[in-house]
Amino acid sequence: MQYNLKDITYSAMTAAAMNVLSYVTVPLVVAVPVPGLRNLVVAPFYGLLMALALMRIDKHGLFTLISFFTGVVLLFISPVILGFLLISGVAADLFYFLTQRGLPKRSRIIGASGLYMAVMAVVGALFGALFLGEMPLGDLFRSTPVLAAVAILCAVTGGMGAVLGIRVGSEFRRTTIMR
Amino acid sequence: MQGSAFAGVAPFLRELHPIVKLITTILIFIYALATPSPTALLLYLFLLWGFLLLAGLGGQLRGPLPYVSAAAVIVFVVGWLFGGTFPMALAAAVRFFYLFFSFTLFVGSTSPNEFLRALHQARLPWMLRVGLLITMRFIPVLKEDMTKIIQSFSLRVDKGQRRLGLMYRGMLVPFLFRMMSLSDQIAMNLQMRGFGTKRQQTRYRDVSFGSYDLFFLLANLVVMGTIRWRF
Repeated sequence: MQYNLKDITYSAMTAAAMNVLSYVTVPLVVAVPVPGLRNLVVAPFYGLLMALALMRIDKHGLFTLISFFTGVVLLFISPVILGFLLISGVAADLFYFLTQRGLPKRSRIIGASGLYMAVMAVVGALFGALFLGEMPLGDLFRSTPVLAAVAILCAVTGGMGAVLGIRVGSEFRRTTIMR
Repeated sequence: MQGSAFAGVAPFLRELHPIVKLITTILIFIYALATPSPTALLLYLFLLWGFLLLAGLGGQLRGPLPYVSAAAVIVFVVGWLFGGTFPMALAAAVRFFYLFFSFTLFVGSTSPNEFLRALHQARLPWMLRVGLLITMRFIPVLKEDMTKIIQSFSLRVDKGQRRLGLMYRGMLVPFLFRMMSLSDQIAMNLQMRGFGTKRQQTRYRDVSFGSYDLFFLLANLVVMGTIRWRF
């Protein structure tokens, strides 16, 4: 299950698309001090792109690889982003790997994409409080219900994006755009 | 040699090792976060601005500066309205400029080829090197494609008719299709140039770490440390 050149180029292209989408959406909410909100606005797009990548490549470690490509580019903006993207990637990959015998592929893709976004929201808020001082840790813990709600919303919207991604992927397969 | 896009950049910045530039941008980021005093933040920001102008990056700063300034004002106003103090909101807005300046320092003076060469010499696996290069190179390409797709959709469909389903068909599907076809073309081109094989690749020229790189790093640290200590 080694990655070949085609897999790498597609993963990199997905990471580039994720960056483009985050440049468009995140500045709209960057100043609003609600933990995890920045992840919520990108969740459907990230879910869609991840689902499409999984349909095309379907190899272990894909979430981590794409997160790495996305995060390294964002290193110039903040090294912290790379950290929480990698943790979310590993969590989603673990879910995708551990459920390979128990769940159908469609559910695994949707579940992993949703989990990816939920973990990103929680770890992102935690890293923001720990390393960037965006919010004192005490305040973050006091706003746990808000963070939990945002994480659930992220998971739901990420999962919905993945459903759309699967739909697009199936259409592309039918028209032989994707094999 | 670096491409003509970097011809206007002064040699003292252009010839700096790409990894040293990367470390410098990270150091600038850490300085911006670790410095609560707006005076210290503004002082280093003006020094950095001057350095970028001297290095010939003024043209690259000029275009996006009004947008960055507008975003910084929003960050300041929202930060202040949501319970932050005036110095805290000001520091947050100034940090926004730091992001932009440090990004310009690296991206405006480093060609992707030079960066790839430096990573190759640092023995990063080929798949990560190639992946990173493609990601960085194709962000502006995809951004432009997306703008064109949105423009063509706006021309064809009236505002009143724009439903979610239609937007999905008219904007999202073409963008994803473009992404896929680009990816296939690049993979084929790279394969033809011998990428993806296990054989050791040669390099066009060495990118070496010299005494100037060390001097630049230390000088930058001394300036940061002095400002931080005095204010």
